[in-house]
Amino acid sequence: MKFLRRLVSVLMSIALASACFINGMAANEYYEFKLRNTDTSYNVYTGSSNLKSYAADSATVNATYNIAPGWGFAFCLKHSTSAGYITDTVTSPGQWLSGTGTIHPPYLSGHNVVNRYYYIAARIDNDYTGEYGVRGVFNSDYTNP
Amino acid sequence: MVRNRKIENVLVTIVCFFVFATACNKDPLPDSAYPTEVDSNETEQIDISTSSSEDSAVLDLLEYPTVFNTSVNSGGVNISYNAQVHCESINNLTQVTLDTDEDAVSRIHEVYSEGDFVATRPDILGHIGYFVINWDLNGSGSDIEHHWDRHYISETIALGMNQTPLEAATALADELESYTCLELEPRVVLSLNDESQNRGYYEISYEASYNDIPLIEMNYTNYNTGEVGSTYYLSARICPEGVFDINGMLAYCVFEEVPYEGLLTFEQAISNFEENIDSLCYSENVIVNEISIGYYPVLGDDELVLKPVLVFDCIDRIEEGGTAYDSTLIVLYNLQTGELENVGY
Repeated sequence: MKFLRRLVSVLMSIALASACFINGMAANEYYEFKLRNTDTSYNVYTGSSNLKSYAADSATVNATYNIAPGWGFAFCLKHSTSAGYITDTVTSPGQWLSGTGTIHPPYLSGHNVVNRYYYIAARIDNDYTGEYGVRGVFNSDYTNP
Repeated sequence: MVRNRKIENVLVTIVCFFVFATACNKDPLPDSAYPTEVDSNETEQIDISTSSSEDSAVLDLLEYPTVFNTSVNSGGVNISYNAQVHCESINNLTQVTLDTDEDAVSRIHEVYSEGDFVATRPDILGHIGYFVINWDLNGSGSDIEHHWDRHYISETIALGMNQTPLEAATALADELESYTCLELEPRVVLSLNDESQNRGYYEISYEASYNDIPLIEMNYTNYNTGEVGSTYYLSARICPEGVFDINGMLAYCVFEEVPYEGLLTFEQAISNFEENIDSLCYSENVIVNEISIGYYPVLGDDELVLKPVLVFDCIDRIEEGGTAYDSTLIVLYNLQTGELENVGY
């Protein structure tokens, strides 16, 4: 019994120590868009990028300011190549954010690559012609901003 | 034969004298740079290293006010000028071309060998990407909304940190300045805590300037390329173990610096702005808060040109569903040609 207690205690200590060494998610990155109607084309914010740490995680997009009407802003994540930006998260159905809040766009199959830098891209609802702004944070992994 | 040689020597001397005299009399700057009443013999090309108000006195100095308050309607847009005008150095501007400082890049590699040193943006000259995955933290909190402030320095000491946000940001700025020809100042410093790891960190956005003139920081949308770009950015994150993230435009040396004659008068600048505003703003109400000079960083294939511009820092007040939203609008004019350089937010 004493041995069992000691074993449980040792195992718990190991588990606790391991937990301390688990890497955190890469810190959320900031973005800001001010867009007019670009039909269904997404615009890439090149001012920040986020390194993916966990292959199984979906992405995170959070808006703290969003004045677009209708469906709001649709988001996706992309990565940069010499041939341009490649879309990595699902855009059909569109990943819309109307007002403030958080969404978690899933990755397209095979596009969830650890240690790759991802950029955020957005567009407005193409039923509207005005100019609208949105800003917040994003992450290539699952976080709770 | 001897007499011919003497005549030849006299002729050569006369020709040399005329060539020399013409060279001495040659104007180094175009006529338009000089006031008409100034004797051309008194004019000299400005030496950048010793440029002072006395040197510039021979040029037509631009005179800008220090405040500008008025209201006008232009093209259906109500413009309220409630502007501080910061253009004191307008007659001492130079145009600067920067190049990547390869020596600085090597030194950064040596000092920051702890982490994964990655060139996240090889397409941006002088870009540094450094990240220590093992020290990575992810914080949240109300401080995050201050990221978009023009200036904000948190006073909250983050978990595990032994320096205030300002102390940590200033110490790192001093160090980073040894890798660049730019001056760096903390512009926004957030204090964030990662509760899951019981550790905190500071998140810093730096403002860069050259000869005390700030580099313009703004985002702009290029609808031709579908890119939303940033003119300049440099950020860092510091946790109790040290710096775990540096990202942005840092490793620069001066490649070329040439005198720059600002020719845009204040009156002409205002006229250009009012002529363009209805195509630049979205709303019908624009408030101009500040007019200043700055360097607009223009990225080329192998150079970064710091172009002197006049900056109109405005609010575009958008009414949507009965609610007013203030949207930032930044308009840049070339100080030499008066042409619109870019529009951002």
